[in-house]
Amino acid sequence: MSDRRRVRASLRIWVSLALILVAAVTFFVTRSTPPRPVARPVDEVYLPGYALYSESAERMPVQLFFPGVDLNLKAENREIYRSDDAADRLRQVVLLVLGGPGSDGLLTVFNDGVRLREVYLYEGTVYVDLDIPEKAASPTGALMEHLAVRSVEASLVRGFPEVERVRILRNGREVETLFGHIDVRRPRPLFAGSPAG
Amino acid sequence: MRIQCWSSVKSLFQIICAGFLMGLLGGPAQAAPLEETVIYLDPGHGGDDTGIVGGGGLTEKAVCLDLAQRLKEKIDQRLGHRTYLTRKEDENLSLDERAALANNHRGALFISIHLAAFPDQRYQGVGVFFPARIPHEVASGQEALPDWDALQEAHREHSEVLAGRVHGALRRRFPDVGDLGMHPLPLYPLAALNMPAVLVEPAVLSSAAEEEKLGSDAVLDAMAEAIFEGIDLFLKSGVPGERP
Ligand SMILES: [Zn+2]
Repeated sequence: MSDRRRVRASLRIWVSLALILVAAVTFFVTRSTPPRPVARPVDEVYLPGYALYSESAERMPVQLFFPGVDLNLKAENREIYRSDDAADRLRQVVLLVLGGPGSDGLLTVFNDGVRLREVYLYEGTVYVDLDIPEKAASPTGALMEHLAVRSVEASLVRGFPEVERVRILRNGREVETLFGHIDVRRPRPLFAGSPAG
Repeated sequence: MRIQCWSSVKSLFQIICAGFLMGLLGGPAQAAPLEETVIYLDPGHGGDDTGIVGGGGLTEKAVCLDLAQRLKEKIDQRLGHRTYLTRKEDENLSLDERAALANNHRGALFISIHLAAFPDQRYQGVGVFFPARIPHEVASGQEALPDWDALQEAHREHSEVLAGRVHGALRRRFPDVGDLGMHPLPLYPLAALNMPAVLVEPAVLSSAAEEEKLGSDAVLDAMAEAIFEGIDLFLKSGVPGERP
């Protein structure tokens, strides 16, 4: 075996060892950092307040959307309980969005005062009825209010083909804005090229 | 004869009362002539709606009114345009009323002043927003927008340029604070405004550091001065390729 070949062979061994080491460290680091717990549990953000699912029910993956630190919407993988009723799946998604992200680096979009009254699905439109007390009327500026609306819309529209558009209601009524800045009067599909998500 | 005389006295009295009421309400007594530039400044929130409340107790509604008053003074003194505030004191005023005031008095510019809030102390600085294009035919089966909403369409390009001028001026004056950018957003009721319109958030009230700064006269004055510079530049240079 020539010198050059020997050097190449030992280089290959060292590179492989280094790669295995990096993989092992990554595995243990990510395993030992559990995702941050959900900001608020589901029964706190659901106004009717009754338990929705038994813990033993089968679960399915969903993608939720929250703003990242750069204020662009980012997907987060979560789970909901499997249900044959579409409105039931969508209700769980909204509850998770209201509860806040489960991972670091994502921002909570609704403050503690906001809860879900109900979710309805009718001919492709999801009606999301939020309970927003008067005191929580303006907890935010225009950009965060926009991101809150977009989080709900994106989480419902992107993961569920039966959803074409989202209509957000406040305290059971159609309103111009949720917190005084962003227009929510019409059911809106996600339109391409929209800012911040 | 006596009846006719009495009815003309009555109409005269009604006109005087209407004029007096308009004066009390703070709006211009009559629509401005077309050649006159009318600038509408809109301090966000007011009355029961405090807007954001900082950790130290400063309210968005109070800071916005203060900034708008400073800005009005600068425009009145240095540009000589007619400048009106949608609200002159701490009062409730619906978003629709704000838009109607500016439209009915032939406003040439509308600057809505607000502050921002974020769920995290890391965010500070300046954000300026202009009305996003709202698609008229957004999905099958949806009706086209009524005229009230379409008014901004003719001015969207100008709104974007105005936003750029104001954002640039604020960034030049406050280069060390964060930049929350300039974005088109579906702002209510800006889509209904028949004039270039922007919403300015010159600071983040949820940031403890920024709240402290907002308590300073010098900082508030510098913010008003920067917004003034943006407006002045827009009025002087207009939209690139167009007569201002
Ligand atoms: Zn505001």
